[in-house]
Amino acid sequence: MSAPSSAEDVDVAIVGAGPAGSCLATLLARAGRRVAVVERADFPRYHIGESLTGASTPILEELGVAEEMDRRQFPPKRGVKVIGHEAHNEFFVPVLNPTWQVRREEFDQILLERALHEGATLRRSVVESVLREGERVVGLLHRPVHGHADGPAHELRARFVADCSGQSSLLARLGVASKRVVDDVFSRQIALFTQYEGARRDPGEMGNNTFIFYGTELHWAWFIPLSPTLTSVGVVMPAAKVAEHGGPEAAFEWGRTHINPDLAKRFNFAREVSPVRALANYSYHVDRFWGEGWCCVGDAHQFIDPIFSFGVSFALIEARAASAAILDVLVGADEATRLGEYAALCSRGQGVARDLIRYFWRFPTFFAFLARGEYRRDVIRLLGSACHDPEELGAIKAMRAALREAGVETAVAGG
Amino acid sequence: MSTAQEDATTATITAFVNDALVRDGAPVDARTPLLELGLLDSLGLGSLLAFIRERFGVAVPDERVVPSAFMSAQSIARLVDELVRDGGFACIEPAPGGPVTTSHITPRAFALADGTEIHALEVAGPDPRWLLLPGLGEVASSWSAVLTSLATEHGALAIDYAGFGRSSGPLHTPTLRDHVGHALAVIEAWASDEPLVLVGCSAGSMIACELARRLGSRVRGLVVTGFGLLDDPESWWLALQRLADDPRAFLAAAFDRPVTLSTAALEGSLSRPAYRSFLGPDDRARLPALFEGLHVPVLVVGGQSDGIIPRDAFVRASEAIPGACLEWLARCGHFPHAEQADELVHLIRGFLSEAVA
Ligand SMILES: Cc1cc2nc3c(=O)[nH]c(=O)nc-3n(C[C@H](O)[C@H](O)[C@H](O)COP(=O)(O)OP(=O)(O)OC[C@H]3O[C@@H](n4cnc5c(N)ncnc54)[C@H](O)[C@@H]3O)c2cc1C
Repeated sequence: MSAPSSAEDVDVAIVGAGPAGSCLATLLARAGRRVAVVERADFPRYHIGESLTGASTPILEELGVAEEMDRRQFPPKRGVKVIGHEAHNEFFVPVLNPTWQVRREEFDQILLERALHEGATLRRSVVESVLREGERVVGLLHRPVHGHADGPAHELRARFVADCSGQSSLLARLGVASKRVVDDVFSRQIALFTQYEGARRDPGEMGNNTFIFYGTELHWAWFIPLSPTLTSVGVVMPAAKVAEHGGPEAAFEWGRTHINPDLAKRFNFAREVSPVRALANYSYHVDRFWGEGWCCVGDAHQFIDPIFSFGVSFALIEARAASAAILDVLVGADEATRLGEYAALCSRGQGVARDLIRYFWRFPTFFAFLARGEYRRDVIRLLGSACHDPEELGAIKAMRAALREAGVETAVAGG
Repeated sequence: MSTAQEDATTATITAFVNDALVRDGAPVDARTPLLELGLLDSLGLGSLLAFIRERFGVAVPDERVVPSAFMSAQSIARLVDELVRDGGFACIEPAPGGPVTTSHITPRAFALADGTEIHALEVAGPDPRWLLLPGLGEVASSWSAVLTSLATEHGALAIDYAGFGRSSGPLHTPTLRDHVGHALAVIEAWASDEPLVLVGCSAGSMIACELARRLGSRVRGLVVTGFGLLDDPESWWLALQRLADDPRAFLAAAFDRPVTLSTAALEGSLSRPAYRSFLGPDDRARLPALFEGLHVPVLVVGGQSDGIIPRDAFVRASEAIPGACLEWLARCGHFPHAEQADELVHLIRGFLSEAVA
């Protein structure tokens, strides 16, 4: 390996310009820090994860992008409709705060531009490894996308490194963070998705909501409006089924027409406008996701399951918490304490989300019951992805008790 | 060792599960794992809870509706016996649609000057309070899912009309005018000056429009569901009377998804004198003017599969009222408050926040 060239110094180096990376960069730069974001993809770029939750709204307002999102006419999302098995029943949970459905190529671009506007800088580069001094991470080595493939990697020295690399889980792969642990249930799932022009929505305001179609256990589909005419449609099933159906295209087609009759009839005049994409092995977590001079944020350390559209909101919630911790660390706060607090918040949220999702799959009937009865307000909070609250809500207590009674291990409250 | 009591309860529950829940496939016995076999879906759970309420006179409190208690007919029977031993729970009438929660809902009675006693269900909460006016033949508890959905975020009152539900009194053939008079008297007693939101369904929408005209600016919002501007009220009324002679056909036309007579709580009420007397010839002649002179914010909500009121009628109603909003609910029939309570509450809340802004 040749000696690195063009060393430079920043306060914080961020890997990845997804929602986690750009949100973190914005908040740090706004606080006066020198921030460099390293992103390997050419923006705007497509990404999955198009439905936000109510908990993301205050953060997007704080970032200062809410107006721009309205200007782009991202569909206003006011709730989630779950259509049950064979469309025999359905229930609706309103969002905690009004939020949006987003076209990710535009959304991620808006967030990145906001970060650059606040003074963060961008490198179009692939991060290959970290620089270390003893245990401490002190920067990155990255290779510009448009540079020479065999030229030297660039060195980016930083007082702190945040891994926001999404499903790439860069620091876990490099052995800086601990290894990814694959989830026992949801990791055997595959998601197949595309976009349609002209798929039939429910009429009026309700049609802008996220629709989840329940098939049978672990077979489901999403239907998310992205513009007045464009709709994201995805089907999720056990990965083993794909071969049975003769490949991703055929498996998607089977899911679209068989998972739920109310989904099947929405495509009479619709046209598929992008190839069917497939994503598997997306369910994992990293136990140790912070250390000396570094932490992971968002998908880089954990993703559970897309059923309740938590991904982007969790990335934003974590990025905000990480920014507060990093700012403190940069002015001398005890690093282990602050990052430990950050990690506890992440784990609490992920623990609640995981138990909520497990309960939904294990006891769908009772989930629907909870969503309509005395615990309705809790369920609204939880589906709004307010899973990080310190207080253990009654609904999640009840779900955990039922899961434990059925022999399923649950997260510990407050953990 | 199981007691004779336990065995009897288990047999009753098992029979219900086989009748109502097992669509196709082998019949279940006392120990068949209902959840593992996916036999108990949301609708099934709702009708099972309604059955337990009717048959055993106990409402299963929300916190007892947990998976472990519903594993098998036997475990359900154990729960029922325990609730019966503990003296049951304050029961309200069965409601169509989703599960009923009893905890926040309190029964009320209003004694009126003409000797009528109007029975109602109330949830306490901040103003503006919502007055909930059911369709003819429906009872106050048809709103219980709405009352639950409101939780304590708004006060609300759902009433039984004279001649229906638990209301009682000397009038056997009350008319639209009588019901309007009763509602005004109830409002006087319940909320003498407070701001109100009027939410009607079907006949309740006719009453709500009359009330809105009389109460003026106190009314912060009027919500019309299950009714619209009919192009030929006379033949519509005739057709409705014919349909009411055949409750099964009525339910099939009214609801998007099949409901059983007992859970629809309409049984018997369609043949009552009070059903037939509601709209006299004069009232029918005035229907074309029903939506005139309304100076309050109005939301019209149409169920897309309402087989009682044609689609056009919702559209025409919203066009006849200056500034009215029109929203639709898919997979919903004539009774949005019973079929899609949470969705309806959501639409009304959104409408109210816009109307205030
Ligand atoms: C099937 C499916 C459906 C989903 N649906 C939803 C949904 O409806 N709503 C929702 O909120 N979420 C959803 N998600 C989750 C959502 O996609 C993610 O949680 C979210 O994008 C995470 O944001 P992030 O910033 O952590 O990572 P990402 O958005 O993945 O961003 C990571 C960025 O890092 C860059 N990068 C990676 N490695 C490197 C490197 N070595 N060097 C430089 N750059 C690098 C990548 O190019 C990328 O731009 C879904 C996920 C799946 C799998």
